[in-house]
Amino acid sequence: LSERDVRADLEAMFPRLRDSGWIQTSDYEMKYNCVAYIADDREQWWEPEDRGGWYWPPGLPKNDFSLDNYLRCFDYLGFRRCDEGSLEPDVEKIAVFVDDADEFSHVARQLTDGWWSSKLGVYEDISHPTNETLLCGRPIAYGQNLIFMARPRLRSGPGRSGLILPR
Amino acid sequence: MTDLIERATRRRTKAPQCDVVTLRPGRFVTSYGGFTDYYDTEPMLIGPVHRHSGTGKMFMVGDWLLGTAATDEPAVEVLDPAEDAEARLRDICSLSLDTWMKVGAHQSSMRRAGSHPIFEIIRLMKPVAVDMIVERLRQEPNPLWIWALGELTGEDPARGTTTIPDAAEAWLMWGRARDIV
Repeated sequence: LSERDVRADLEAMFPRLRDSGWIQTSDYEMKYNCVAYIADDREQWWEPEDRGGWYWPPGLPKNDFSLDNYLRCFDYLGFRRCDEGSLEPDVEKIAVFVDDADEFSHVARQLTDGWWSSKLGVYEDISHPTNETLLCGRPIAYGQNLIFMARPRLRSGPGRSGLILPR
Repeated sequence: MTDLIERATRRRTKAPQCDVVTLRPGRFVTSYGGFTDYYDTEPMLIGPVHRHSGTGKMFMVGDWLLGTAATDEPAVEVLDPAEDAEARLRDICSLSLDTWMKVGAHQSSMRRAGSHPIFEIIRLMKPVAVDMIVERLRQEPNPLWIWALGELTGEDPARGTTTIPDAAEAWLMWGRARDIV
């Protein structure tokens, strides 16, 4: 992974990123995934796999890969379902991507300026202007459906560049 | 080893000569989940052909429409089990792992990455694949390799760990105990 062309690779994977102005905000990192990223955990890979190596919050079932189990995980992190993903003051929103089989595929967090931030599997963290830029993921698509969830914004969170902004 | 490649080429279809295929370099049209896309590809092992669509070079793997060659060159290379089978099998396995990495690395769920048809090819080549994956894990503690080893072997030497680096180390110890690495 260290020798690949990140921009070309991600834009091939997500063609709608091209010309969107997206920004790479980290190097690739294999320790954590997008769910862990929402939990601010950069050390563990959050997935309900019932095998060694994976983390799933206590009290939530393992080996249950249903959308509901993922939504309960975000509920565990304090997020509740909301209607849409517009920017609201002092509210932190996430967008849960759901594929055509109604299965969880990805989650992105909203930044303080309305952009979104995603950890792409084992790849990099990126900032992207809209969630639509990731909707055409291939070959296992992220899906076309979004569920929005929100919680009170606990802190400023990373800015578009990946830096923590002062409140 | 010949048995392995014969199994790989004969399984899942009534037409054994049309099972495992590789795509030659060229421009392909792909369609995933309603989206249609054009891209130039490197040689890429795609997977077992479960059925042809009946329209020449367009073919299906399972329910996946994988590609239509936009060139006039034949898109499908049919493997000959008799021709240097062991080396070819290793080539195919290596290419399969490269491809799986390419198509699965953006997934947040390794189980989801494992749902790609290419992993079925890897599963067919399990004895070769396990050794190669352990070696790849030694080079890079990638959760794809950890998940694949658990899936292919049914074992869980990393039980009790909750991080990828710890699980990678447990699997490498497992590999060393078997003289794989």
